[in-house]
Amino acid sequence: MRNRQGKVLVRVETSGDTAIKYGVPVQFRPTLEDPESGRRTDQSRPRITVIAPISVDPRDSASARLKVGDYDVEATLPSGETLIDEITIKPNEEHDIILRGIAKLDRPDFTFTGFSSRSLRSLDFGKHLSYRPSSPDLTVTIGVVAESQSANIPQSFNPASWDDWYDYFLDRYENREKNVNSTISLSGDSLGLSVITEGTVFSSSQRIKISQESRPYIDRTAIGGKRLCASITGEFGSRIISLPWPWDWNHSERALFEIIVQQDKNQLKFTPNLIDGRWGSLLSYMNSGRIHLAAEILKQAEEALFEKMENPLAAAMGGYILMSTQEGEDSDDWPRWLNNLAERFPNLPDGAILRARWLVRKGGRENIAEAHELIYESISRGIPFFTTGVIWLVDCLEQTSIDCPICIEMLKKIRGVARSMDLSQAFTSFTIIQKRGHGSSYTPEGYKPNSSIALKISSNTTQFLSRQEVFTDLNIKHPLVLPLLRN
Amino acid sequence: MSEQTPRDEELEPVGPDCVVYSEEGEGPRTHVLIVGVGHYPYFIDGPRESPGAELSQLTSPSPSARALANWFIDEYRYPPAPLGSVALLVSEEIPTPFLTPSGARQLLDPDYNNFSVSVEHWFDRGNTDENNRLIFMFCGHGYGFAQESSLLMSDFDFSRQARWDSALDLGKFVLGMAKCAAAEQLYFIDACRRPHGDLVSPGAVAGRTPIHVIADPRANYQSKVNTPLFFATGNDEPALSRANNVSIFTTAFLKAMRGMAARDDSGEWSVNNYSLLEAMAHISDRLTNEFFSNPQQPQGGQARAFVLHCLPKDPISPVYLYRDGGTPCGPGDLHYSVGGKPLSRSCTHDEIEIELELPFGKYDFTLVHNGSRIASVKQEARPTWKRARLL
Repeated sequence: MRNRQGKVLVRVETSGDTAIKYGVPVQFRPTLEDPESGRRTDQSRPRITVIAPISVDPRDSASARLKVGDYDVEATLPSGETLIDEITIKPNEEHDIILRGIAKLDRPDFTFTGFSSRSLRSLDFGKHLSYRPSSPDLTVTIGVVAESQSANIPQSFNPASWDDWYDYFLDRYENREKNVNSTISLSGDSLGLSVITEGTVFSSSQRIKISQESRPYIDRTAIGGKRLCASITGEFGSRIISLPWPWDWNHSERALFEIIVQQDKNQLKFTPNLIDGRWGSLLSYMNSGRIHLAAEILKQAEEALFEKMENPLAAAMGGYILMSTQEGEDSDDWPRWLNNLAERFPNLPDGAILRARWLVRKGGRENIAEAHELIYESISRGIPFFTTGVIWLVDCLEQTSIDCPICIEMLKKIRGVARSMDLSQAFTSFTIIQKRGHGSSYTPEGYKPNSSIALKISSNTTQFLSRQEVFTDLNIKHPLVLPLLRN
Repeated sequence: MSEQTPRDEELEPVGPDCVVYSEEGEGPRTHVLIVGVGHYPYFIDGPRESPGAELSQLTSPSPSARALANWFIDEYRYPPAPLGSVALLVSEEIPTPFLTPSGARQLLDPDYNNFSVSVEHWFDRGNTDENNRLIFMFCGHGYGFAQESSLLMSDFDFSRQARWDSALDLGKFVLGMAKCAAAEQLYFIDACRRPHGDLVSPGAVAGRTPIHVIADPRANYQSKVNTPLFFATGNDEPALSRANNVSIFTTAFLKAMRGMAARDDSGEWSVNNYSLLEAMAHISDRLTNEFFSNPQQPQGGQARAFVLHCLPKDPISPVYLYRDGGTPCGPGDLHYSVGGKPLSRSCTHDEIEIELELPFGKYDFTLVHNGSRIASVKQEARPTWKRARLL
């Protein structure tokens, strides 16, 4: 049988310096030439998905044995870029496949996670091919204590605490006329990490590297106790990011997190990249909403992630992905691992939320009651590290707190805080917009209505509506084939 | 179908369930509820524009909702739960009847009340069998992030104290729907995803839900609910559209369903939720990346894999043709045959890439200028897309 197989070595090349072992799911779809209808999927051979590393080194290639024949090769990067190829596997031969992202070909600042690829289209690529120094209008701080710079409500608070954040946002909202330009910085212990900010080839984007000098001892059971956050403040506001730290990384890179920040169109946008030779792609797929591709990676790395719980935060990330894509029967291993995560790490809110979510999904009076306790427990542990945890916390509270007045108040509080979170990011983060204004029906003297001055909602929306018209007038390169409209 | 406009006396108003099409039959069914809110009377340029109006009228939801309804009626195919009903609510500046095979229907306006009643009926239709499938599609104005989203119904009025009573709290709605027997519930949200200042206030109400949440919604059912959410765009991003035309999200959905998302892994061509998302991402990007700094990218939330649609015929998918070194394909004519019928397409001097949507199969493409062959290539058309260099 082996002589009817060939070996394939596959890897993906894209931008970025870091090789990632569990990089990109590459699917080999067996095809068969049908003389009448063309090339169809061959049912007699299995579809194989290989988790290809992201690497420029041929020695890193992942290998698989495939039955001889034709295959379509397909992969999607976290950025959404699709890489396709075709290959004919011959018996006893070794075939190299390198899927190259467009970034690798001609765009050095195009990351495989996609942020730059989107933002850079609007910029003047090619005109400034030299690295610029860091722009002075971006302030980055890290620490475990949040400091509000408001003139009238100076305060320090714990950035992991729901209560503290609620108080902060409530105060900020109630004093919104005085606090339009207040920001937040971080202070206190930086847990051995340092920050470097550097410019990129594009004038409006900057790269923030958060790294450490040496690998410290990590007390895993304490994870979540002291919450390390990064604050990035620019012209248009602040972003506070809860860093998944301590992250047990296992490679030689000193940079742990790379955050690309862009100030564009009155917005401060950022994309955090986890520099991790094993799990960096998981986070990127999660960030881009391609959970099913993250799940493909996990299928082949589940044990590596969970078994020894060496990296509880990576395990929590895996838990979110599994819970999102699989039903989770009692016979599966991973629900048990979620339980371990909830029990062994008493300061990690995400473990308790994951377990509660699984119990709620299972249903039944006892499970719902246990979930209720776990949710209550998770709130006392603090803000989850991952955004999906916030969404699931709200869902679980909504479902399990119907007859609990205390929890209904908690839910109100959490929803209130969640509305200032950027739920598009994988890591929990907060958006503190400058010049935040007032309720939309209230227009004090000197201010425009809230949604145009503060969050730039109305103006942006209107702007995009205007663009809708511009869009109409443009000569569309890719013609839109309209569906048949009967009405 | 002819494009005749029915006289008023021929119009049959829809009932409170807003059903424009139904198909009787035994066994599980798919029930679709489509809401297209384009005309907001209290918004800018509306007939009752309120002083505090912050948003404008939309021209895309009506054609989008109609195109989607027609697609479900004409093309949707899912043998385990064939189409059972399509309910449609549309608001537009000039109300236009919806033509169905059984006659013209006068549609109801999607104010919160009409919407709420239609949802209750939709819930009841889905509640008859766990193997039913429910599909909810919304196209209109929206605010918020992730499930913390508010979808604005047509009677939303920024000047009212209780304005958010005319919005749907999507998160609560989806959670509440978990108590409906239908275990598979799909939500397609084609709306902007930016937060509103009102909602920044801790304790602010984001909207209402016609179906309330209960603690153990699947207590009496065997199956767990699978509720994938498909958003037109990422958080903090606008949903895009061409004026007076179907939205980018709708276009991407229809193209993906007609072939680009099709896979023949099980022998016949079918679309699953994952292939749908990938194809839609590709289409959205191509339609928007030249015009916007942030191309629109649909987002999918948590979902277990499932088949969404089985194609009744071979898929249609694009072939992208280009020449070496950025050489334009024109001036000239591209010759090829579809089903034995020869076709020709002229290429302009600035066309770097030619996009053709073709049925599954093999093709010979030849580029000709002034009677001379310039380049040619053999290429098949097969989902998701193929790209070939004319040599």
